[in-house]
This record gives sequence, structure tokens and C-alpha cells, in this order.
Amino acid sequence: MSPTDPRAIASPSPDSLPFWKALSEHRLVLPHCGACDRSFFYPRILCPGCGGRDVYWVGASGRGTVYSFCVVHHSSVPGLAEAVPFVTGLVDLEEGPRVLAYLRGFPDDPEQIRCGTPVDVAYLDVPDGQTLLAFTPAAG
Amino acid sequence: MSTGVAIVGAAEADEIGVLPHKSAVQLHAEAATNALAHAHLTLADVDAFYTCGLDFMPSLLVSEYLGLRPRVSGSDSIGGSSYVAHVHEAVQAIRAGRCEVALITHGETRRSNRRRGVQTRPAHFDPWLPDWQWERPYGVDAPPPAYALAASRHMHEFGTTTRHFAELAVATRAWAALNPRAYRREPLTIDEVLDAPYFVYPFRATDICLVTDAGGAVVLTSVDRARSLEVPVVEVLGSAVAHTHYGISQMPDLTTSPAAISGPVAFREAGIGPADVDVAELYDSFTYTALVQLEDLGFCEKGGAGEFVSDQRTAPGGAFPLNTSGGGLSYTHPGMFGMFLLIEAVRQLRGEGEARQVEGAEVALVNGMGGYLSSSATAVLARV
Repeated sequence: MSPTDPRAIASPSPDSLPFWKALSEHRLVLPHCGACDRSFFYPRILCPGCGGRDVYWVGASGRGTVYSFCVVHHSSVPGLAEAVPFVTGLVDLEEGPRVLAYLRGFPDDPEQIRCGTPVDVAYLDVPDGQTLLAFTPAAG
Repeated sequence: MSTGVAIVGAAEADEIGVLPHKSAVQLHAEAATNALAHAHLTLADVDAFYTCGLDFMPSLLVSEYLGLRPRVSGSDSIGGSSYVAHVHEAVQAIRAGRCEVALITHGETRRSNRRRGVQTRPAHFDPWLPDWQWERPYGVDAPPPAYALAASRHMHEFGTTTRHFAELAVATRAWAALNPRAYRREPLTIDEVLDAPYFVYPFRATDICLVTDAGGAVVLTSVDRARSLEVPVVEVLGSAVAHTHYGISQMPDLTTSPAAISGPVAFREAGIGPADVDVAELYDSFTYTALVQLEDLGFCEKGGAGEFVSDQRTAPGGAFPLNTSGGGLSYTHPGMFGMFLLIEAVRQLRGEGEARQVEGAEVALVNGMGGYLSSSATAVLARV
């Protein structure tokens, strides 16, 4: 990683450990409700759609589209002050859930960043063996 | 329609702005006594008390300072909209006969706390909590980036522009220029706004609320008792509360706030609609926040707020008086602004708006917004 890469640290909670472990292995997994047969986000011990407790993990394609974004020019989060400006966005995954992530490889001019842009998952390795979620414009 | 409950007093603390020489609880007490005096009541009349935003058991702490032992007590917090939500709660309690006189107070020294390195609200520190785990590592640890995400989606879907945001910032500043208590009163132009750098795209500094020290309070009682107080009677015609999420990444539709839920419920109870409103006080933590509420409360169609606020329509002398105090953008914003929406609406309806008085103001709409467009509390008020 470069010195200006975001180095924020997340602290995995017990109900989301498999997500973070997979991410550190550069795999994207999602919690899935057996009753609704639907994936959701963020991970939790029940389905926020139906309250069902039959929740298991499924692999995700890593494909999605940009739902929204912002460009952060000032941050007080440890590990992010040196990384500004950076683009953070909400991505609608092919499987349905919406996730917050870094958007990497987008134009510097915010007027040139478009909601709806197709993206592929990328993995941003940060210190302590952890990985954060990122997306880049889809190839082709 | 009517609830039979009125706001009979409303006031700020003795001073607001930058107050390193005052404590937060002191600001609650100053505002409480000022609002009670405005209502021709005293602390001895109060039997219900609501507050939040101060330590862990807010209504206990402030009640103790004031010397109150209320029959009804509430410390509910749903963010900056809380004080409007407290009005909703107080109306139910008074109507049910559980209390007669409800006092709601606010006091925060958020600006001066920075110099002391303290927080008057409990610090939020468990990294296992969802927002710390799913949003903060991506730089969304505070309202500006969260609201920016919502604003940029609105721009994408409806063609809203940063010039529209600037129109609102400039109009709100023009109201502040008429308010001696406002923190930022110097004139602002659209070109000045658009020449400034982004703080978090699509927001510039003038799109983002102030951080000040301030306190405020309102007093409610039944309309029957209000008539005996010899004060102008501002009735709560309708009120409602709604929330849809906590973190911005969980917001169901980034372009629709929970005001779309609480607004129609409050209007239905009031038996009137947006066209009947003479003056609107809408939570402007960001320029965009006020815009989305204009749509969700039915003052214009979804996606139409940018056009609605264009040509300084919401400025003094414009067709739609909005945020007549100067709002959170230019008057004051101590962290939780909802109380100050109520104070300004009551002043307008009592004809106490001084240089910024809206002529013939009989109906006011107050809408508080809390969290990351997470909660909404609506109150329809009228001089009766």
C-alpha cells in the first residue's frame, strides 16, 4: 500500500467475524436469510427483513453499481487524515445488499464520477492483517 | 382539528454563541427560567420534564439542577429532532391528564467543549457498534460525509445542483442578518459560495451548519390553562415522529427522509396541509437537509426542491419564508438544533419576530431531523 492509502482499522464484532476473515483472504461473503432466500448487509444474528434466525454465509460475485458517493477532504478518523481526498461510496451489489466502501480508480474531478457506474470488488489491505472493502470501475 | 395543548413559552438561554464561561446545564437552567417567564409560569408549576443530550440520565441531572421532581420525565434521544419529539410526547401526556405543565430544555456547549477536550454527551466508543464497524473505517464518522452521500444521490436522480444548495445558504444568511442573536450575519452571495473549495463533495463550508454553544426551552400546557395565563396561545395542531435507520448505509432510499412519514401524519392530525403553512422552520444541519424536507413534507414535489428554492424564494421578502431565525446554517447550531426551530416558530406566531417577523403568520410547520437523516419529528403549530 502507498503512504496515502486509507489505514483505518475496523474492529470485527463477534457476529461479523466470518465477513472480515473472508475479506482478509480477498473473498466477499454476505449473510443470507434462509427464510427469505435473500442476502442482507450488515451482518447480524437475524434477518432484518423477517426476523428469522436461519442466517448463513454465501459468496458474492463482487459485481455491483455505484449508488452514491462523496469525496472526503477532511477526516479526523485515525489513519485517514493523510489519505484525503478519498472517495467513499455506497455500492449496490448484484445480490441486492448495499455496502459502504472506498471507490478507487475514479476521476479526481467529482463532477466526472457517476452514480450507476458498474464496479468490481477490490480489497484494500491495511496494517494488522486486516482488509477493507473497496471497488473499482468494472473492467471493459 | 386540535390537540388542546399549547406552547405557552419559548426562549433561548441568556446568551448564545461562543460561551466558554458557561456550563451546559447552566444553559438549560437559563433557558428554562426564561421560557417559564415568557409563559407567565414558574418552576413550581412544572410537573413534566423532558430533555436529552446531557450525560447518561439527562432528565434526572437537569431536574436536579432545577430543583424539579416531575411526575412525568423523559430523556429520549433520536438526535437533533429530539426536542420536537419531546413536544409530541408532552402533548400525549397532557391530553391524557398525566401532567399539566411540561418543560422541555436544551443546553450544549459543543463549541467550547473542544477547548476543554470534553463531551457533554456520553462519548460513543465501542468499536463493535455497527456504525463504528461499517461506516467509520470508510471515513463516514460524522454527519458531513453521511449527508453528502444523500445529497449526491439526489443530484444524480433529480438534477439538483450545488447552486441550488447555495441559494438556500444565501437566503438563510439573509434571515440571519435580521436576527441580532445570529452567529453569522455578514452578507453572503451565491458567487462567493460557489468559489469556495469543497469540504466534503458536494458540500462546501457554507452548506454545513455552525457549531455553537446554546440553550433553549419551551413550555406546554392545555389550551384551557393557557387562556388563563394571558399569553398568546400557540396550539400544537398535530405532531408525529418517525425513524427509518441509524447509519446512512442503512437508509432505505437516500433521497427520501422519514419526514415523508411524520409529515403527513402530523398534517392529518392538524386537518390542514402544506398550502396552509405561513412560515416553515426545517432542520438545516446542511443545505440539503432543508431541501429534502421541503419535498418530503409536501411543499413541492419529490426532486423539485432545487427549483423551489431558486431565485431566493425562501429569503426575506420571498414567497416562502423558511428558517427565519437564520437556521442552523447561520444563527446557531449547538449539535442538536431542534429546540431552536420551536423557539423561532413560537416567536413568529406570537408576533415577536422583530425585524424578521413574517406578516400575518398564523400557521407554522416545524420539522426536526436527527442522526443521518434517520429520525424526523414534525409539529404543526397555530396561533389560536
